[in-house]
Amino acid sequence: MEPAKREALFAEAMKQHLGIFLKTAYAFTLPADRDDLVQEMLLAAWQALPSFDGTSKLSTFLYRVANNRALNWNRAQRRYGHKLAALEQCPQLTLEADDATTDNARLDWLYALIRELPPADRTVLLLQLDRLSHREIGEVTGLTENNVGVRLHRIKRWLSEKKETHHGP
Amino acid sequence: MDLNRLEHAWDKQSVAAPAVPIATVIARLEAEVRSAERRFRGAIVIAVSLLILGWITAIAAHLAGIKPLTPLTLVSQLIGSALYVALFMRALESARATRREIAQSGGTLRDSLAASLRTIELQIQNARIAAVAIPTVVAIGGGLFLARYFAGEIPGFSAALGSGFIAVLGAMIGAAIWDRYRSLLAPRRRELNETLSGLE
Repeated sequence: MEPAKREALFAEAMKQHLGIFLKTAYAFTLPADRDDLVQEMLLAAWQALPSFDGTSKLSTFLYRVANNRALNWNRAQRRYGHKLAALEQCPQLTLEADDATTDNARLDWLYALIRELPPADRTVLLLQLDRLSHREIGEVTGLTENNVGVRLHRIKRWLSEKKETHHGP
Repeated sequence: MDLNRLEHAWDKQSVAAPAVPIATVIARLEAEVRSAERRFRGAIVIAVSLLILGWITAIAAHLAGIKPLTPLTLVSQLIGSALYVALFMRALESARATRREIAQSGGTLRDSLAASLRTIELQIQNARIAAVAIPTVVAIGGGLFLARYFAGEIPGFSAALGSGFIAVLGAMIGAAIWDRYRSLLAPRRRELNETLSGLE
């Protein structure tokens, strides 16, 4: 891949799909580790971009990288621990609630709820919440569409047993 | 709680980021990648240099008459070099697998995690080889020191000191490898197996 194309794709990822990295990081780590995981994801995306052949959407590719790094986080944290200092100057990226009906405490509660799920189900739920179709979820995870449907059904049943316990405005 | 409520709340979040200087981020990421490549190449250069330096020193000492290369020292030098090269090649393959794994992290999760598991398995295999190789090297090294002592090439004190040094060094390397296996490799293999089975 030509350097200019790689940079253009990375710029597109940063401008339009930064949420993929942030939401995945929020769903897989506690606040103390989030910045490190996001940086790790950015580094992995940059390194993996030359293998992006355009047969899938860029967002699908980035969902794969983000979730792959999140699922490998413990190991990656050790491997790259010494490297992250060079990225510390990047502006801090966060997710925030848009309006008064969804306060940040509710968002925190939602992500804490998602973190209760096993890692593979967590990924499936994240992708569903981002409105990916079953086929697209399959493209990211490697699961069959049928399996995605069964899994989501199970997650919905699990969710129905959960009560909303946060204390927002 | 149902999925619709969750989706509603999900849609009401956005990325709060100051204008991200993309060129700066790319420059830093590139610097990280280059730095990792430099470390990788540097480790290779150091490892190869140490091997060459060992031989140059042995040959120079022989030619200068400081420490003649007897059949026993030559055998010990050859065995040491062969083991060194074998372990170096394993380490190189492991490092390459790790690099391949990162470059392929854009594959499906199942493929990427399977690649991660293969890398971990390779590292565990290396740890197992080391578990056999280290005591073997210590035994051979000690045996050679003993043989050189009985051949009258070195005094008893040097033989004991040399054997002790090899044993302590072997124990330190073995402990480091065991710690890495226990605290990092084995838990990661278990986690990856669990996650992969969760994707079946």
